[in-house]
Amino acid sequence: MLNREFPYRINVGTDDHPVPIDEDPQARARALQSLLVEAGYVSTDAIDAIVSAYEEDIGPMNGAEVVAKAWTDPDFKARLLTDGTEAIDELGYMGVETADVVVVENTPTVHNVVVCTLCSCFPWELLGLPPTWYKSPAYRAKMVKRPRRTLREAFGAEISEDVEIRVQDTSAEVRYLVLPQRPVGTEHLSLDELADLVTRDSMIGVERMGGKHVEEG
Amino acid sequence: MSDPKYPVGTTVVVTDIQSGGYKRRPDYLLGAIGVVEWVHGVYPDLETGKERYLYHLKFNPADVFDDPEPNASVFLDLWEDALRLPPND
Repeated sequence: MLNREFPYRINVGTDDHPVPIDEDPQARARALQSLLVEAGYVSTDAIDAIVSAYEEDIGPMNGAEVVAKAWTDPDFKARLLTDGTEAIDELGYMGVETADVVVVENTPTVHNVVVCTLCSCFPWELLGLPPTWYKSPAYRAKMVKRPRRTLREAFGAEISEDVEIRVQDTSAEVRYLVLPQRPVGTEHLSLDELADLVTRDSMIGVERMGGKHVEEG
Repeated sequence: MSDPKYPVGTTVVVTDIQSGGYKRRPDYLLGAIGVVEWVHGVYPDLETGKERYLYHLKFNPADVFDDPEPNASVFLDLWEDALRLPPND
């Protein structure tokens, strides 16, 4: 067992020149990982395997397949919007995350966008690792307060004034996935081709699919 | 478990009660008035295991922020014991 007393003193600066908290989150994460490995709680191999799985194998593909299926199967879409966790479980995509999933639908008059203002809750099993900007204090502060302006200035997503923006401030028990609008002119596409169209950002809600092609308002 | 105390459509106030082992209520919503959009169901607290109703609440940015953007709303999930009815209700 550990012979150090809590709180651990990590030597990252001198008392005269302390390293400000949050200045270097990567260094803090490395320090945390070292302590956990040293204490025998996790192994470096296990961490590498999980990161690699979410970076390379899962990515946003699971979410894109859920969206494509919802676009083509009205019964599945109805189940997805009623009980996201169960519908996604049908496809076998509920992974190691224990949180439930609620799917929120974009329509010609509604645009949903997801943020976690307290930390970085994210549907890993559907979208892979959260992008760095999603975890940044700037995104977390601005998206909740100035969503229309932030979507426009930071993401180039111009949301018409007559479209209601619903900011989903997510937390531990329930993760949110945005169901984007299906672009018109995609009736001939297969399920796989539709899934290829669906971007991670559109499922977070910082991109508005369909808007360029659909007459709104 | 009894029925949820606040059915869909109920107006509630976000209190300063810290109802779990970790912080769940963002500061910007302290004292805010919200409406129950739906009831997620009963969930255990991740740290204490205590089971409580979890609510999906809708807030009007005009009640929360200075200089709010029009035609927007904010949604947040909170535990039942972090909420109360507004006065005179």
